[in-house]
Amino acid sequence: MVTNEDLAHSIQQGDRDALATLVERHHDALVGYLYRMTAGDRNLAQDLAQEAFLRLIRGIGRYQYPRPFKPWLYAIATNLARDHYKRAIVRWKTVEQDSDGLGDVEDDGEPPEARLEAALEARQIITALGRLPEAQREAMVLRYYQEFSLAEISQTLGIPVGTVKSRLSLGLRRLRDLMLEWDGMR
Amino acid sequence: MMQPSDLDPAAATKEARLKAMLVEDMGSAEEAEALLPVVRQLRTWAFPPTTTGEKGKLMDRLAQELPQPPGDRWQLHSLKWALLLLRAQMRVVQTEIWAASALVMLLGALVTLVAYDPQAGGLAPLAVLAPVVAAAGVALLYDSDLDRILELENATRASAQALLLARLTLVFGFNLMLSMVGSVLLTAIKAEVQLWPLVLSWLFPMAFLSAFTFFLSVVTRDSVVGTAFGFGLWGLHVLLRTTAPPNILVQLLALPGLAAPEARPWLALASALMVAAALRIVEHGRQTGDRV
Repeated sequence: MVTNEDLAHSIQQGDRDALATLVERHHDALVGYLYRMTAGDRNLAQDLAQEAFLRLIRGIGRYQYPRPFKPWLYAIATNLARDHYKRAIVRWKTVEQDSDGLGDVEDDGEPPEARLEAALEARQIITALGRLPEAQREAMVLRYYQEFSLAEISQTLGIPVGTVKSRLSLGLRRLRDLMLEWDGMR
Repeated sequence: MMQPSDLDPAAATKEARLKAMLVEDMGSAEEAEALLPVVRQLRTWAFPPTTTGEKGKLMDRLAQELPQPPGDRWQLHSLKWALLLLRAQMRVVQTEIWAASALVMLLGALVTLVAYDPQAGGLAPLAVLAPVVAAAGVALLYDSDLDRILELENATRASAQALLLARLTLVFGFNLMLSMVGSVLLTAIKAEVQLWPLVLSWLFPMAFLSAFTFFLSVVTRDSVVGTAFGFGLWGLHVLLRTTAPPNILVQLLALPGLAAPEARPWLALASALMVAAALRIVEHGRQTGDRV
């Protein structure tokens, strides 16, 4: 399989097929990442993913082969998500209140009760992630949804691997405490 | 709790991978086991899949931004683009700059023709005026209409750096051409004046002084400051070529080696560095929103 880095190198030469392959390979995952980074706002995630790809193409001249491509793409996306919340003076915690989580559940023939339960669970996860500091949330989403390696997260966020580990560890413990708390309240 | 044996092979593989990740993150199998349900629950939050239409639209948008393929066509395209940019910027540069430069250069050439004696030594009036005229023109480029440059940048694909560099090329190139024409005419009319010594006497100081005033204009955000310092430096240099300096500080400020042949590579290097630094500052200012 052609590597992401080779594809990026071909895009530098104006190769449209390479661009199509790269979009096909990364678009869905990137939207997924941004969806989780925007408290489940699908439209915003789509817009940010488009902007991330645009910035990537506009800056493709600066890409230095064979620098790892995926962390670069996700670093752009992460910065866009951060900038969005800074610019809009909207915080994750407030956005989470607008998301009912129902958009997260496909109508795949399951009974309405099951769909509602899944939606409520999604809502709970959005709320829990919203309670984490942004830095921990970014590391958690990259690790447990995008399945990035520790080195890739380190490159994406521009932090040492040790810091990645500590953010993941703190984030997971905090989430466990929250979930236990909520289970106790049920 | 769900056991791996309850899962289908694909799910079991995923579960094993998740566990391995957690062990790596937490540093112990016990801790990983304790946190596994948390991650499992996290991963129940799916996201709605994107459609082929959405990806198609994105591809169409991205294709417009795709770099042009390399080769002769691309080089020709770049050349055409550069020429178009230069032509467009020619209309934007203040017309007074062209007229004033031409007038002063003509004056310098006439004075050189009438009063300059190469046997007596010293700088030809044309060589004195050429760097000053070029430096003043270049300095005036900067602060008079930076806002217009930034507006243009928003309206076109050209960056503020490219626009400023285009104008710099135009004004400096125009003065270079005027000085060259003046020098050629002088050597044609006045047999005792030699072309290359005359050209070399103004060429490197002209480049250095222009870059210096441009850099100062950008740094101080004021073309008057850039011009004043440039003129002062050059005036001091010209003056002290024939007069003894009052003290070491003045002598240093007058850049005694400015016209020396061995200084030429350094002048060229310093000029290139100052222009590059000024353009970098402009770009940095644009990115940070600061009106540099």
